[in-house]
Amino acid sequence: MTKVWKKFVAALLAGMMVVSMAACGDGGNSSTAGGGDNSGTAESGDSGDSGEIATLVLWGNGSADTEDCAEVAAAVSEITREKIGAEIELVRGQDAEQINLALTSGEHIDLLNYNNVSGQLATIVRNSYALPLDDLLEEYGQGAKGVIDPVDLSACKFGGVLYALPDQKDTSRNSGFSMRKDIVDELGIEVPEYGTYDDMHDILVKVHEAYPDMYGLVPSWASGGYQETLLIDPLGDNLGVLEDPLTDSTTVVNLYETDKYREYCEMMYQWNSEGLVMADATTTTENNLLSANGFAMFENWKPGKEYENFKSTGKEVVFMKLHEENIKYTDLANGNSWCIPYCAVNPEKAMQMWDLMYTDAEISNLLINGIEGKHWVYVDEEKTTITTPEGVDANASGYSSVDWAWPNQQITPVWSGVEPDLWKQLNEFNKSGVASPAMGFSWDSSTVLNAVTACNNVISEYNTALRWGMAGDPAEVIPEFVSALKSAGMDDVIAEKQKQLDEFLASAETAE
Amino acid sequence: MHKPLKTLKRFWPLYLMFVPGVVYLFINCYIPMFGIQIAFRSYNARDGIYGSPWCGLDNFTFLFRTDDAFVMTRNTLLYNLVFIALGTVLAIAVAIILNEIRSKGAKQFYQTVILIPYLISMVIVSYLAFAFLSSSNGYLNNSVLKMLGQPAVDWYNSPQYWPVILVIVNIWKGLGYNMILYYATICGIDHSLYEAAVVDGANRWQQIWNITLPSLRSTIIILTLMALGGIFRSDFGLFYQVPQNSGPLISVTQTIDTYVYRGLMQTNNIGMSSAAGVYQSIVGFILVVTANFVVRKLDSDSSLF
Repeated sequence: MTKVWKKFVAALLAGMMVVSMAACGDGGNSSTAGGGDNSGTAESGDSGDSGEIATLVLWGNGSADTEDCAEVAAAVSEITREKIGAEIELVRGQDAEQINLALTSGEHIDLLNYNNVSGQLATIVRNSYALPLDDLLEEYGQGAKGVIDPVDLSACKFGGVLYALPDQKDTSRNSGFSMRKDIVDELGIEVPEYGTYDDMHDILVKVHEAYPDMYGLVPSWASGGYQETLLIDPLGDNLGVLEDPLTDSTTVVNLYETDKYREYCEMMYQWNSEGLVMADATTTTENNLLSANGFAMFENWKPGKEYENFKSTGKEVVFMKLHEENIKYTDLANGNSWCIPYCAVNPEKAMQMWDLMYTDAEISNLLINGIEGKHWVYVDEEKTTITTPEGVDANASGYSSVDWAWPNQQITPVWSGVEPDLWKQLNEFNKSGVASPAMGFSWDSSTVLNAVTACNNVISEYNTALRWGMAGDPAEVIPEFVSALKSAGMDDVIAEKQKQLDEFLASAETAE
Repeated sequence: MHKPLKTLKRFWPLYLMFVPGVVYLFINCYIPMFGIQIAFRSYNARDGIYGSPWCGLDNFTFLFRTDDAFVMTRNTLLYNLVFIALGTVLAIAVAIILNEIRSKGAKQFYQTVILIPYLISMVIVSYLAFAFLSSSNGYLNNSVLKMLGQPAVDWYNSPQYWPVILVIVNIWKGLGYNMILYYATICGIDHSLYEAAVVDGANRWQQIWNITLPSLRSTIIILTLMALGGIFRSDFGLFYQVPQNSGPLISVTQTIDTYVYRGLMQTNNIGMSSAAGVYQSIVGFILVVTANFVVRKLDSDSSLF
């Protein structure tokens, strides 16, 4: 009996081998077929010029209902069919995991907003998810090229190759605290335009005394999210940073070893012990905490940001900025933008579409704000300001307006509630930023990827809790953190980054 | 070929029952095996699995670069050992107690209540745990500890409590399911044995000790062996969702599965994640074969293969 059993199992396994090999063969075929498809449809795309209509798939950021996306896509297709011989399909609201899966499995996407991908453009490039754009931009993207600031464009280059185009959003940065206007007004608190952490402490103490049940400082997003308020150039990934981008020092240092970081953590530890910080800050799954019982959060400032906060939280806010100077560094320019993924079926058409998104006001408006009459209406005769139609909930129109996550918000009307010359202000703000000495530098972590991964693991263990003052006494925890980083290979990472930065600076000098 | 055909003819209904399982295993366990090669390649999406260059054992070196490999292996193994040991003991105890209940209605009621947690998704369990442990609104901090006059505990930043919390959650959730098999075995024990014992003057404890437990022996061994097979796997939800992915807890909640997930999601590194997956499979395989070998030496009838 056992012998028979063994024979049977052997036969079964052999059978499986054959089938699984066949399956592998299939897998191989389909993956090469995918590559073949590329060129195949690219050809049919060319013939599209002679009448055939290509379909472009766009993945945008921000939440929207499927039906609303379809409606917007149909309206955009009306225009693009004429102009570039393509129709579009629009998908929004995909999170990091869905985008990851789509990219690894080679799903058909022609234009992708990578805001949700952790590691942003660097990750996309390292995994070869993005197509090089230099030739495409030259051939089909002259309109976009005319709009984009060359300084920002150069920040999207990795190893001299262009992989993304920067959105026309804020590319300078100032950061501080965003807090609820109704509360500060009620308590008669003067919020200075520029202030210090000590000023913020005083404000939080006052609010805590008046409303002991209110969460003072809440995360900017779920699980202890925070906007960086330390004035540094993160050089891509915070593993090795420029400690003060306002000086011309180009020494790469370990952020977590700096006094800046230690003082920040000690401050938060103090604030936390005084009850000024939301106790569940690092574990909460809520995103817009100001809309509930939160008072203030770390936030970046840019012109119109107050209104943006209002749109997402439903609460009017006032800002206190922490830095006199606005700064500018690579990650700001190449963050939250778009790329053409390797799985694009029709990269040429995608580039033409992208060009329209930069230059065609009607398309840009449709994609950013949705359908007139349904998602927004004009307020004034001149058609420069829009608002939500009557009877539509501003936070739930079915098509959320996330203007900074699209190529060119600056050719669309502004929402009523912000100043009419918002785009002018935004441009001035972008120009006002003091560029970090490493502006334009993107590093390639592939040679020390093992160490980078190990360091990131250590950081995810310590950083968020330290930043919220919840890891225990920083005087004990930070040395532990730093030594864990060292054994994970932080020094190798910093040395490699320094080497690449020095090379970049040297070549930039010779170029000048 | 004559004899197998004959057995096939004779037992065909059994083999037919076997088919869905084989198909399932084949699709879910055998086909994906060709992906093992990703662990040995420097994977990039554009070149695909077959086009990406080989990189030898590079992907594995990062696992052993820090004590990550040690921590996650230790956690996976120790948690599972505790789950298996404690889970088995409690499941048997509850099965016996349930069997002692005379009222049929009460029996069914308890059985259902014990089983319900098994049917709840781990994501929901994580929120139930959060309702207990949350710093600001949690039941423990605001009611229990306050009542006892103890200071509040910042649960999600205090790793020392989590081994206990995770064990409690896991046992609470899995008990009903584990118990069913033991309970079914107990129900199947020949009643004449108990009657004979009663005639001989054995009390309840003696009956349990001398009849129930020995009858459960082979069920215990088989279930434990099967559980050992999974000793290198962990319930992702339990170790990722229930601790709310809290950083300071990573040293006690990191298992191989959560490590693979974090590697994939945070660094997008498919090669390294695959390497951790392959490590898990290989060590798990060795463990099962070893455990089975030991059992076969001790008692060849009880071994799995």
